[in-house]
Amino acid sequence: MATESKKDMETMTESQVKVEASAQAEDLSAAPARTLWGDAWKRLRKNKLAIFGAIWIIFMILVALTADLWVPQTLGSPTEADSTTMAQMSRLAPSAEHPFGTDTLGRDVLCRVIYGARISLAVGVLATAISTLIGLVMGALAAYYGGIWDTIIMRLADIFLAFPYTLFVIAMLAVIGSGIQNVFVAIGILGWPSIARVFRSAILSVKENDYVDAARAMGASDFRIIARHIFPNSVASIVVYATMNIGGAILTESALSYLGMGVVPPDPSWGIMIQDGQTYLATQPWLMLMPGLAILTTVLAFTLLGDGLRDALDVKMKDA
Amino acid sequence: MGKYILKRILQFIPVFLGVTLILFAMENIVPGDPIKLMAGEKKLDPQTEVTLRASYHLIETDDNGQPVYDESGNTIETPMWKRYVFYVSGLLHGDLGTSYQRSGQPVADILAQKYPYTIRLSICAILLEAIVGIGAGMVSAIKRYSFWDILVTLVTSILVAMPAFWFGMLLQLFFGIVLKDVTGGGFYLPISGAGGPNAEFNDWVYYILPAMTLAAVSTAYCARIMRSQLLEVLNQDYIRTARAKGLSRRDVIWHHALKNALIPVVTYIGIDFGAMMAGAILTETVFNWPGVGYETYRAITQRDWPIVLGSVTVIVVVVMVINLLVDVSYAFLDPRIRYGAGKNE
Amino acid sequence: MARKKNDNWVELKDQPVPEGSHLLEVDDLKMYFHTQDGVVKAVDGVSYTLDRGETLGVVGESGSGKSVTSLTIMGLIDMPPGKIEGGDVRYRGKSLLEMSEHEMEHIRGNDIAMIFQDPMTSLNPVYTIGRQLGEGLRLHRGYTKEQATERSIELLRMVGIPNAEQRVKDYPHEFSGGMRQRVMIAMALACDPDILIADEPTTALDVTIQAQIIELMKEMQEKNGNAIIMITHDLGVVADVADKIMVMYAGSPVEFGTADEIFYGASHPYTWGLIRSIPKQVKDEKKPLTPIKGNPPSLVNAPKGCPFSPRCPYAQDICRNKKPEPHFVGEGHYTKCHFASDPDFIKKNAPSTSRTQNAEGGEQ
Repeated sequence: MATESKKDMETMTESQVKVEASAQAEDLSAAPARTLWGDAWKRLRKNKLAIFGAIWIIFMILVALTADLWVPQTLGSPTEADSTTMAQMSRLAPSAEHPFGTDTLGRDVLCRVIYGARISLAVGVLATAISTLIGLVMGALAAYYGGIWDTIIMRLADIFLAFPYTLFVIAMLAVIGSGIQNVFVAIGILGWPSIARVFRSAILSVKENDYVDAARAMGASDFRIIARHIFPNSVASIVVYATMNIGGAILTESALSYLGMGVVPPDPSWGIMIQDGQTYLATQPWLMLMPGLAILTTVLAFTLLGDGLRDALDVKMKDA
Repeated sequence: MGKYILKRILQFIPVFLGVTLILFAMENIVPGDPIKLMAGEKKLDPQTEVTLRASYHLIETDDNGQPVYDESGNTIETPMWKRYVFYVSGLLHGDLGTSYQRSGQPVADILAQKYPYTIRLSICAILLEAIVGIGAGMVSAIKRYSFWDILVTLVTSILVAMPAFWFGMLLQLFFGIVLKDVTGGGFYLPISGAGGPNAEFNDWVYYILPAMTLAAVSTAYCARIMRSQLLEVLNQDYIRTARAKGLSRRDVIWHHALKNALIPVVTYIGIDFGAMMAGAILTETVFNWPGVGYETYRAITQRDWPIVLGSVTVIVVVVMVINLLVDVSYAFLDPRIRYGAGKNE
Repeated sequence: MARKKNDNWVELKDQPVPEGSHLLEVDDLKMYFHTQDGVVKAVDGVSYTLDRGETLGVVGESGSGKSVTSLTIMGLIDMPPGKIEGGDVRYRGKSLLEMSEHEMEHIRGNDIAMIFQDPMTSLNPVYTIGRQLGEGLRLHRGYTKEQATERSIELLRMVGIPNAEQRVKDYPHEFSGGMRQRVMIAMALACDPDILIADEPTTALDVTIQAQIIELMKEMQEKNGNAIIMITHDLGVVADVADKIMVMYAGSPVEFGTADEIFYGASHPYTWGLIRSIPKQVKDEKKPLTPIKGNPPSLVNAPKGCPFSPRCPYAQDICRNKKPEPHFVGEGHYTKCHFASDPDFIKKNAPSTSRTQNAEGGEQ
């Protein structure tokens, strides 16, 4: 890889030829002000899978946000069951009236899947926000100040990473109790080491650049250097990492809820719905299929978008 | 090499102490008194309760293990740091502690009972992962942009985005219910203990679905790493050199590309094996598998902290040993590292 | 790994070169890459001939198609995206382009061998030098492992590696850059090939090592009588080794001639530019080098006229609108420039190494 710069156009591989050729084509057309994000957007737009993922995410967010306006009116309540009609309404097969069928308590499964999206998306985004924030601070401290800070923080990260992850989250929830707030706090707190590592190495690679020295020579404060000079240069890798992390957090939430450690019933979490449906696997498989498909498509959408962003922003990731 | 191993072990000590300390702190914060939980509905008579507390070092004891009382005749709670010292010194004597529940069995005995299931399942899963993952990754890279490549990319993306426990249920649904006539429904219900007197199949058949579930996500990652590594290696200058020498594409892939591409993949598989040995809570829950992961999970929910501590201690050590082995084997696979660390010119 | 020898197999190397043809004939070769962004005319009409004992220097900037041309001859371009669009390559009268992949594998390493630019990355890091050296011999000659090792030691000694018996068991990372390039040369020469293609063999090396490597290649050539194709961006490198020089620009030759003709009678502005950018060994005079302004053109949207016209200081309207045809300055010496036939133009603009200028004394 070290020789890439030495390789000339002639020995380039197919993909490199493409990139080179397109870069040259752009040069010729004298493109207007080229920015990182403008270029990335251009490349992202060409990636059909990533766009598909983005559209699905936006769709899910819209549905989740507007759910109160139309879901209860058409599909009924996601949490409350009507004891008078429960017997007739229990575990109905999918039909026009109940597209995903109904659960044991006669609640509409589609309705619960929609409300489940709220929880999943909220946990995914908030947990990622927490771990990103902690990770950024930790990574910045470790990389920028180095020395003892670096040793302590990275050792701490090692300790966190040495735990079997699922066990750690469960133990954490056992301590702070279950419930949606605790779920995203637990996932968020335990997720910081990987982001800290990413940010740390991003800073380390940027830190050596001349413009950082220049800024320091001009008397800029440490915070200012990190915020104005280093952060913008690492923001691409953080965005990619966070996008992928959301998918991971959603998966963790569903696993916790499935184990009964996460969201507390009757709140509709996809994990709980799968757990409920497991009993009826042989007879009413849609009870576990529908929420599972919801998790799959949502996480897949975040992965595809993350992959697309990674390629578009040209972020090198260590793990696949 | 010996120096390197020693250095790694020394580096591991603070990590190990950190992990156990955090768990110890958690135990102290967690609500609920273990002895009361142990008794459940029954009321313990005060004398038994004191003896129990003394035996778990929850209260201060004298050298003979007899509880110590303060002036007003109450027992004295042992401070956390002291109990931690007890725990670590116990560990040094090979004592993992005693379970609160499970009728006071030593944690070591419980783990000894559970580990064989976890180890066997992990071995099945890792074999599956290595064979399918490396194979799919190779096909995908060699036949880049072909139907197979797209299929592998698609399947791995889906596997990675799927909750593992849900995948396990899908397997049960498919093999137990859709293929009921072929399998006699034997795969439907969660499998407990595998085999047993009424088993319809040989023991190993019951490992298939749990192993597939456990291996699913890692197999997908393994295939992706293999693909990207092989593609990267095939782009290297030395591959062109080999081709210029007159080697066929096939020979180049098998003799020059594969060994280089496999180095990081083997590392990944090794580390993943360590992770599997940590027990797979979700897989074990779905299949009702009596392994370490499920036992630890049960212990957490029932506040049986000695088991949690003991099993996490063992897990962390096992993972560390496996990672160390992976590092050492890495040095043997890659001559650059072998000579870099050992023989100096 | 040794290939089973077919009884009817004709070793092409042992066949005489047919009457009236050369060892290697490249005839109007065209190879384009078909990419998403358009057709890249990487090799666009290259012709030359080569005989045993001869050295051809191929000179041009990065992206001028010099390496791709030789990779095309070797059949090492992936097709697709590459595609032969015309022309032919004949080795001992046989078309290489018509050969099957299997036949080509026999040619590679055995008849035509190649050395690459970066010796640091051109050797497989996980195998010993001996194994990599012996591979070609085991493949093409059917040597056993022991025979191959023995020959490898001889080869290493031949290229001047001390303590060859020990070194043969070492891994590439234990060799220095210059030593590795020696190993590469030994590897290329292992099967006694007719033609050695050296793709920027010295670019990645220290200046002090560069001369040694060039010297080694010359020495080997005198011993074995093989032909060499020396690809480089540095006209200085080929100055004293090449018999013929081909100057390439944007996928096609712009000037072709003997080394003397190129150095002292160049008639293409691009060649002049290359000559002007060679540092001269003049101690007391510190004159700035004259770079060629601008970058090589995109091979996707090549200029309509002369490909060099956007950068050529002498370009006229005709240059921008019409592709120049080869103009023969002397026998076998041609230039693709509209003004090559105008002696005044050449006299006025050629750099001072030029014979004409020297005769008349000084630059203008």
